[in-house]
Amino acid sequence: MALQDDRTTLSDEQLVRRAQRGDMAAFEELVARHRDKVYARAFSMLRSEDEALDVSQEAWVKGWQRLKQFQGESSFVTWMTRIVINLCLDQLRKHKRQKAESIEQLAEESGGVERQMPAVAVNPTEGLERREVRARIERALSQLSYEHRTVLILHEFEQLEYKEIAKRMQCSIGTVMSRLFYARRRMANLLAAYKKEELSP
Amino acid sequence: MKTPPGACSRRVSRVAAGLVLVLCGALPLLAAQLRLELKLIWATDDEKYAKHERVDPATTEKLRKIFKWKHYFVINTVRGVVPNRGTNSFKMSDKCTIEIAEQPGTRIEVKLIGEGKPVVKATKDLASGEWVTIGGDDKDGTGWFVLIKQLDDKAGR
Amino acid sequence: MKPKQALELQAYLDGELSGRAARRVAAWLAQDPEAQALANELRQTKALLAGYEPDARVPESREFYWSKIARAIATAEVQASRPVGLWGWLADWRRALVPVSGLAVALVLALALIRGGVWSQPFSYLTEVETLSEHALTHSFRAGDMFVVWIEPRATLWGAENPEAGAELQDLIIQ
Repeated sequence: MALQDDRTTLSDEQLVRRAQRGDMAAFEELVARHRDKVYARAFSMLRSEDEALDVSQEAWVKGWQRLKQFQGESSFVTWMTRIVINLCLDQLRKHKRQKAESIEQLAEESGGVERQMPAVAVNPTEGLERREVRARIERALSQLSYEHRTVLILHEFEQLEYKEIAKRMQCSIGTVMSRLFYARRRMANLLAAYKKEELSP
Repeated sequence: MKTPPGACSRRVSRVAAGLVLVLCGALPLLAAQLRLELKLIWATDDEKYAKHERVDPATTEKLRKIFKWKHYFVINTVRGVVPNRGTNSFKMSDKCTIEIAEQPGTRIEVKLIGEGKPVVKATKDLASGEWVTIGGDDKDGTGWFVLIKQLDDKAGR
Repeated sequence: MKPKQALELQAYLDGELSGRAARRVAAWLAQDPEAQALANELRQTKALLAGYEPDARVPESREFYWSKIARAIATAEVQASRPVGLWGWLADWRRALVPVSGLAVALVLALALIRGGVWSQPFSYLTEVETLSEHALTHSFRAGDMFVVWIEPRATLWGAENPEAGAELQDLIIQ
């Protein structure tokens, strides 16, 4: 029990150093601390609990295997999030090979309705509680295609630049820009539509 | 021939004493048996399978703390005994049997047999109040469990 | 507004434009109402997402979630350490010797326990789980007063290389 308490008081850096020397218990503490964040990233991209569980666990295994390569250039959880993102992207590429091109993708190529719609002027989440806003954003994210959701997540939540997103998604910067624009406009219009649903009799 | 007076009651007494002795001998054997309850449970996030009995709330809460599913339904409940240092098979479904053998001390060996083929064996102490659970994922994102629980303490140990 | 202009506006708002291009877009934005309306919408969406990053919690207990990771790490390490080719047979010999050395350890332990006076319950603290099916992988963990043995079809370990094996195992257990 004393040993367990010792681990819980250690910083991530200290735990990483122990884990790099083979201390599995230290790595387990890191997993316990950051599993929700890593899982949440996987779930936001894959939108499937089972897949997110599998991919997040695979990410932890890879994290253990590559731990000696981690030199502290970013925080440990940021490093782990990058690993899970890459695995999610691999998974999404697998899905894409299995699925026919979606209507959304075709719309994107053709210019898309959203590109031509007037800008949404009113804040669609005004007057809502945090919980409700989060629920609406989740709902809207679910309605995006894999590619659009991914580019939005990588830019808005992971703060990656266009060039980095293009590299990870194995597409051109132009495609990243186009998908990001489409995703943002679609989000704005979806959120406005939910507001209209609420207000209509 | 007439039975002498008192002979009948003495015979009854002897028989009764004999019965008591037999029972006294048997009781430790009976008490030494391991009484178990096994439940085959199906786990799902879909609430619509109302035809099956739900797992009791306390057990559901326990399972929810460990596993991801929201709803747990009892498919089958089997109770039985494992004789002292013996083995018993508990048929959970047409395809699944749990074989439990009592070993020295408080240890049990639990073997899951699927369609006649052994799948996994676990050997461990079974403490009072402890549950042993064997489970796995099922189709369509559901899960299954066999929960094994000792019904009461073995007496006479 | 042309699509290229809209994308440039977005890039400007995202800080992706070089100095000269950024100045050009800024000047255009200052005097074009349609561009201003679009910029407001894009800024609003960006601000909204920044404040509401999706959060989700792992729907499994700490022990269960970790047990699968630990099992996968152990499996990967065994596979990685398996030598191939000429030295493979040596490794096989070493593996055959392990039960013998394990028996030696067990005997030593038993003697220690006898001396320690716990011979009535030797190895009582040990839990052993043995996988008996070639189609299954198992791992076990304790959560509170529950000891769990979890069975997974060998095929589904992050990549359904052989989905038939997985289906076969599930059919063995539950109908």
